[in-house]
Amino acid sequence: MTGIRVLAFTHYAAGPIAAQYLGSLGADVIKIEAPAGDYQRTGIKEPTAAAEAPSPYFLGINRNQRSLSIDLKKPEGQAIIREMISGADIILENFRPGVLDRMGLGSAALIEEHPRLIYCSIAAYDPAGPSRSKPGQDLIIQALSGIASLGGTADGPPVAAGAYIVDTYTASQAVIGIQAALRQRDQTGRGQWVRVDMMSCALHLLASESSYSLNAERQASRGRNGISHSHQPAPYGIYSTRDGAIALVAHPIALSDIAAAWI
Amino acid sequence: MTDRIVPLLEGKGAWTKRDEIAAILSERLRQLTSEDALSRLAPTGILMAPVRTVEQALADPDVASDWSARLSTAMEVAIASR
Repeated sequence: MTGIRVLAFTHYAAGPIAAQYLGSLGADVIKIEAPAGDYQRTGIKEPTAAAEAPSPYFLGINRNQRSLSIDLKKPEGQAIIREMISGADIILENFRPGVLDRMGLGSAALIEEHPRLIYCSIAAYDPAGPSRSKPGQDLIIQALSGIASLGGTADGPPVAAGAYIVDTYTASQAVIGIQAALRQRDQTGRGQWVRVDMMSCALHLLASESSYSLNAERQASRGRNGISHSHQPAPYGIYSTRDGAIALVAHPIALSDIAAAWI
Repeated sequence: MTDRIVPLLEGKGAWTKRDEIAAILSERLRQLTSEDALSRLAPTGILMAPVRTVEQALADPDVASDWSARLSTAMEVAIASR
């Protein structure tokens, strides 16, 4: 993506991760931050860390980008950002719907002004749906989408994935959408508004489980050994050992071999 | 163990009696270290792996040689900030 300039109005995780991917692919990414800087630069870390210490969380998901602090509420800041937008190929943002519109930086206005601009919005929920203005977050979406209901054991509480899987997957989908929009711009000369939301991406992650839910009599449910994939035969699962745990995946035919291994 | 597991495999037992089979395997596996369990199971050719911590995964030579190049700056600053 050398030669492609991205202005990233991003915070939390899905937006920065998408920006990071674009930077990894060679784009020139400039993260636009408030005058005080993205609060996550020092805001999300273990409580024992020094106040001024950088956040490992922030460092891990904000690589491959330059940054610039601008006060978008001031006329001077608006003038700077508008000049930057005129030279940008992509706007990437993950504010709640309407926030950037109120600053005159919404998708409709900017695409009308800059027809080649690709404007990618990452939201928590479908921007056209009833929950569009609600805040979202990876764990909340894992809970609402059913992902968390499939983790953990049958006799315990639901357990979410131990990584920000919805944020990361949503970021990947945003980058795929941006790439497709760039391809179309190459052909038509016109940009477009690319919309991605975490809830839809979470459901996409559940493609297999959703298909079972809609088509099969047997529903996905947590097993005693923490496995919800009802289509996977034993011994598929995680098993505790004396000093840790191991994962086993085998065809049922191999089960007798497994048993024999201990005779 | 064979005489307990094999009858459960009849029909679609590997799917419908998954929890019972898992319980039998769990009994035995809890008595073994991960290394011992994996070495005993290796001859069966099944897919298996130890459940590692992130720190262990990052220390894997196959992973470290790749990730260190991409993450070095962030990781070093992160570690320095501890």
